[in-house]
Amino acid sequence: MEFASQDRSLLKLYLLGSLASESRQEFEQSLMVNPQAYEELEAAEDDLVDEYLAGVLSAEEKTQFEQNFLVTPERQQTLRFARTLRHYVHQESLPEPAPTASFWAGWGSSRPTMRIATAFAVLLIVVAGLWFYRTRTTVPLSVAELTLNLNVSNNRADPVAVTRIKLGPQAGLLRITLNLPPNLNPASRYRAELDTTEGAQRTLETSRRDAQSVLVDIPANQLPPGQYALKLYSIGEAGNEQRVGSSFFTVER
Amino acid sequence: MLNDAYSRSEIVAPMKKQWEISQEDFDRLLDWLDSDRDTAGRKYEAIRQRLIKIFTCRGCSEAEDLADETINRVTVKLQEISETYSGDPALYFYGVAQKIHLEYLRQMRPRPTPPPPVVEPEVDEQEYECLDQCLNRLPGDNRRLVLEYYQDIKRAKIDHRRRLAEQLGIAVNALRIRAHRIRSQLQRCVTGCLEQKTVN
Repeated sequence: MEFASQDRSLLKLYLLGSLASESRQEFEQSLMVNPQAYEELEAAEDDLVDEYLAGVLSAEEKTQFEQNFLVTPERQQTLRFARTLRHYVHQESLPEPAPTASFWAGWGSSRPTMRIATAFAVLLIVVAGLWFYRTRTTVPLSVAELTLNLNVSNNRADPVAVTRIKLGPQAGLLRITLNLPPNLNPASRYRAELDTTEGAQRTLETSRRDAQSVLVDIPANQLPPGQYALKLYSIGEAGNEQRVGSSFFTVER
Repeated sequence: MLNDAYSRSEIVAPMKKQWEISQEDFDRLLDWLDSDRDTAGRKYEAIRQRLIKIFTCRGCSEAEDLADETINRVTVKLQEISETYSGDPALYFYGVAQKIHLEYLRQMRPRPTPPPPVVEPEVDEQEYECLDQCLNRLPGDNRRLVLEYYQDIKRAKIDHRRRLAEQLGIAVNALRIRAHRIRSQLQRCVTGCLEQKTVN
């Protein structure tokens, strides 16, 4: 009898003791001489035990499993092992539980090594949290201020001013005040664009404005040392954009 | 454990004969299985393992004794048949096992329906710890494979295993067999670990 992997249902019947006599004999002869058949049978035993534990066997199969399959202490041991493995894998694949009342029930029944590891992890999180809180609260991040005049000339030959700003380690934000040209018609909205010398561009929202200036806030951690061009565009009622001007600044650390 | 109707004294002992297997008989058996002693030893173990499996699958609670009885009978009979029998010796063992099973059935008293097996519904903490230790002793790839393979994702399990097989570049059935081998290895390790804990 040539064994094929599609004979799973046959193996299941054999293991449950409900395979017809002739088929059983044929399969057993194959089992005696074919190592693959033996390994397939053992793998099928695993599958059957898992199906029993998963509760997917029919009522009849469940009865056959309990009365015919679990005849030896070894197989009962196999069932116990499968249950433990199933539980273990389930625990491993669970997401971290939310700390609710059932946490303590689970805590009591978990393994000692798991309890120690969990306690250690919680302690580590608390210490790290305290350290972070202390760092954040004792040394507040500051806002660095920079005022720039917009260069409205389109002539590249005109000299441009490059303002330097030194951002210290505590600088959390660079607030740039962009002074608008005096004869500019006020727009309903503005958009700023930050260019780096490497060619990267980033659009920035203007956070506040009045008739003479526009404010642009840039997180300091997004400004590594280097030269930047800040361009300002006005946005008309119809959504049309018009370049207002640009300014240049260099960040130092 | 199952009830007393399955005890060894009632079922096996009346049938079991006190065979005297000499070293000479046993050597003859090994020679019959293979001219190379190591290969013969491996074949002997394989035949015994399969006989135990067959008796177990036929619902015999004393499968090991019945397998040994089969081997003893073949060994004693060997002088008569070794020259004339042609074919795989394993199949001769199977033929004898069939007869022994019939005797077993004849000698068995009507069996009461066995009670449901007493298998603790809760996971044993010691076994869990042993499993943890044994899993940690596995090579990383095998550990990952077994944990991935046995994830019980119910309906998504088939797809999950198919994807896992694809990742490993093997067929799904090859993955199944590989997972089974690691699982068997783990179970042996856990059994040894539990025995060790009992001794200590």
